[in-house]
Amino acid sequence: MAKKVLITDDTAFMRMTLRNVLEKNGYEIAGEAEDGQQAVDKYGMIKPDLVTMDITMPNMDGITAIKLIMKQDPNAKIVVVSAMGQKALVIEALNSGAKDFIVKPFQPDRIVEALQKVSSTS
Amino acid sequence: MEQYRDLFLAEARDYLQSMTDHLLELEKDPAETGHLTEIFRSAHSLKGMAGTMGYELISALTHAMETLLDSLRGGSIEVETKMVSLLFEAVDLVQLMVDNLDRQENYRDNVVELEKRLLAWQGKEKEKAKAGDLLTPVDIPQTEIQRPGKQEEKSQPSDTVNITVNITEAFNEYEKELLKDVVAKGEFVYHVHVWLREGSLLKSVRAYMVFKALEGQCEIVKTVPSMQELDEGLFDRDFYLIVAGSPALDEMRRSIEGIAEIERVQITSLQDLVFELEVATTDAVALPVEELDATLPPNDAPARTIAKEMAGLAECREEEAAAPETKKVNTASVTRAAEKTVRVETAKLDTLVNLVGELIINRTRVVELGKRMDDELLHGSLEHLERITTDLQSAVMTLRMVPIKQVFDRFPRMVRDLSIERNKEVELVISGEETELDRTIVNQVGDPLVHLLRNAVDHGIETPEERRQKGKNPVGRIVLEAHHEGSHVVVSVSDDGRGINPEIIKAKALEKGMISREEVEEMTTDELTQIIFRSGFSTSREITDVSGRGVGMDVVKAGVEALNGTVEVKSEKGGGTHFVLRLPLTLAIIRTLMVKAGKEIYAIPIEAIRENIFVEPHEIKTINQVRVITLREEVLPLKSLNEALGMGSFEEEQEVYPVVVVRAGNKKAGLVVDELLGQQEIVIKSLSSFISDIKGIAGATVLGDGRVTLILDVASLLEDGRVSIGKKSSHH
Amino acid sequence: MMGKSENAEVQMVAFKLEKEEFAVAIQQVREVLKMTQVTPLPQSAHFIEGVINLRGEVIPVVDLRKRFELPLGKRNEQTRIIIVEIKNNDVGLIVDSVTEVLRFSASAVQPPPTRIAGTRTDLIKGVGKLDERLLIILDLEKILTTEEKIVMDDITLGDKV
Repeated sequence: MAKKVLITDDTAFMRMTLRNVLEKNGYEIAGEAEDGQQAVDKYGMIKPDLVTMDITMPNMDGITAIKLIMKQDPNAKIVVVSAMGQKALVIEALNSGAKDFIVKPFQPDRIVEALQKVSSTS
Repeated sequence: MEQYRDLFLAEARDYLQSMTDHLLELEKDPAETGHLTEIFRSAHSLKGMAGTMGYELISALTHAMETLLDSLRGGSIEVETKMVSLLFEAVDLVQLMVDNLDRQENYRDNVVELEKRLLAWQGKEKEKAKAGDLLTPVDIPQTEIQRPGKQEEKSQPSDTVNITVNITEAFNEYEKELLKDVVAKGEFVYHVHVWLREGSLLKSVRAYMVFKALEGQCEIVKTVPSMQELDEGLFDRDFYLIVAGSPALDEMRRSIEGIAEIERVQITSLQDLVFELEVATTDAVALPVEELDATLPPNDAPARTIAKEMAGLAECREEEAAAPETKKVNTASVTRAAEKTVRVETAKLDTLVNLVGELIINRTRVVELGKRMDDELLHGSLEHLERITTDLQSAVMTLRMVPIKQVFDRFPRMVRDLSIERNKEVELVISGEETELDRTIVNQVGDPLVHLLRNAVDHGIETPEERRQKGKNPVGRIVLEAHHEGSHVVVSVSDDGRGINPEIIKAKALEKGMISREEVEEMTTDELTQIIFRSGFSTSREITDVSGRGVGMDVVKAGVEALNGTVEVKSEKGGGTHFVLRLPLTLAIIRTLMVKAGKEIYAIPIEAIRENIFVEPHEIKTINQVRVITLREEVLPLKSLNEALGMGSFEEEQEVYPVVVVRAGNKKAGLVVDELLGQQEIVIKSLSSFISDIKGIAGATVLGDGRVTLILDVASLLEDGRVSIGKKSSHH
Repeated sequence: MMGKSENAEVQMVAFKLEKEEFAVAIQQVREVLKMTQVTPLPQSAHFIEGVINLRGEVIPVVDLRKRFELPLGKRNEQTRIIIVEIKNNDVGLIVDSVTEVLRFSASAVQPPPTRIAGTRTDLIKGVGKLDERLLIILDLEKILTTEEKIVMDDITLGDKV
């Protein structure tokens, strides 16, 4: 069964890019969120297998969203999609429960690899 | 990374302490070369550790110390006070940087300046020149290890790891210590080589994820390149770690490979090599590198390289063995108890203590309920439960116990510096430093002791001339001593100085209006002496920068009392001063006497209680509107507890009054209660800050039935003048 | 976190003292207890009833009737202790009764009317309006950390609005 992914990013362009790459590689996009709050709300509703999470977003940032999602579901599998130069934030995200990260701009195979690695760990 | 840093901090402090100890000894006995060797070793180890962590300033400064120490060892210069002070300055600066690891850069100028002076003392022109551009780190281990990756020009990672190693310096003292511990514990050492995919971004975070993945599986002994460089992303595509522990290899591999953009992981066991290393070191014979090489399969390159490193390790060991006196000192003081101890976060200990406290409270509750039932089996197992929990409690309490040495350790240095500054000659004698008490108390008893010692040097001990005139040994003597006494630890500070002059105290107390003429007449010398503990009193004739800061003995007293302890002073004019601190072993649990007054139950700490007596009405007299009784020829003010707490008045017309004779400092009084309920161990709960400064109440506890009971603060109950002779009771 | 938007709701715990209704933000409330055994605390402020044991923690309890110089009413089945957090400390408040948890739209909560004769508006954080009901939101921190005398009239609006 195809893995369900929730894409979180405030730019429509990034969401579209991610959607294209992931759908091509056999993932099902179960939802898109434009900010952290939406991600938290939608996580509860659609229970995706994987979440991609932007860090800097309006309303609620990615790190807060990760914390809240991890509270809801300690087994949540979240992959951070960060920009360059966000080292400290990425580390905070990892410490908050994110499983891995990739750096924008990313090569398609890297995001696929990251999601594969994350979903194969228990 | 945090974990590694904590380890560095702990070990660095050990080395600094060892340097301080041996510097003091060296100054006393320059002929004893063991001290010099020990200081040298500590400086060297610190340098190595700092290098590994990428702390170049610490490593540069310790290097300069090493250079000076080396000349001392070679005999080209001699030990003298000024030089020891210079070395102490360096120890202090290193300490400062260790305490402020994040702000080391702020001390760059200090390091440059001090390094110049260290090298100038040593007098070698060549080294002086080096001082100019000091911050080219000198023979720091990792500079001799070629970093992985930098050499690797092929784009495909190959099985060969090109690490060339300068054998003797591959592992520094610190890492060697760790590896020795590992072997002794029967654990394993692995070489873990990690390659990232080409073009990986935020490489430092990848390295971080590797550390995080290994967390809890094993301990990282070393990384190449250093942690700092990994943290700054200063590596190409690969790095390696030496880890120790008993990890499950499959799991370790999977946890690293499971990280995105990790291309490959290679784990090589170094167990055989470590074993051979052990054999080599126990026999104090290092295997030739070639022989080690021969024992390995030819294609096992990383292991081979490490074999060389290990052989280097063995060589160092051999060097040590060749100098027998070195070894002696080594086992005496620097051998760390690492094989037998684990470092535990104090917060975890506190949680444990709290939980046991809860357990005890609930046990009491269960036992009380059990007593109501008539069931032999139940009673039997309850008894068993009581025994076990009591044992558990005392076992847990011992976990919090630390030797008072931790505080005492800093005093020899302090007394030395102070006596030089004040032109005094002082010998500090310390005994009983292995005496253990609660960590919280150890942490807080330092300040009062510092004050007492400073006073002793500053005001107690006379100048050498004065002492000669008096026919005393020109070298003054201060004795700092600790020992157990029941459930207390007694710490005393005694000096053989000029003592406290009661006449000066009398005059000053009168001048300040602290006592009246009539009171003075009635006071014994001993009572007069205790006035020094009252606030606003200080007998210092001249203001010195040490003791003349307006903090007096009242601060000492307050500090000790905050720990539920007491302090007393005994002194004779010309015959020295003797301070005695009595401290409880622990703060978390105390023995109390439970009493009833009015409708309420109160807990009185046992150590504040002298005795319990029953008083009949005809024994009570009234002097100056204060009720008193005479107990063994001593007049004792009497007050009902309810009255003292402002909760009621003295109950007249009773047949007999139960009285608890309490004491705080040198004040005594009889507290009349309604009923004596018996002794009980209780867990102290602090009151919220909202109500924490209530007079007469020290805290609260929760009894077996869930009710809150207040713990009395006898010192403050007696202090407010409500229960004291010669003063009108505030209620009359 | 999310910014407050116009239609955001605030939740308040409503309680009664005499005939007046008060409210405290739900975030500030730890829990609500039935009246329990209170150990008196000697030599403390007169409005401090004492201390209670809340799951092993010792927490001070304030009698709000005493705080506002009201006649002491009989404690009964309705009497409650509201545990609130003030300056990182838990404090219990004894009130006549806790009525309910109310939802206000953010716009229904307004700052206190300024300058009303006989009312200490500095002790009031705001006023919540719900239909015909008027709930006063007290500045508990201010009220509990000063020893100055406060009477009921100081903190009610009466017919002044």
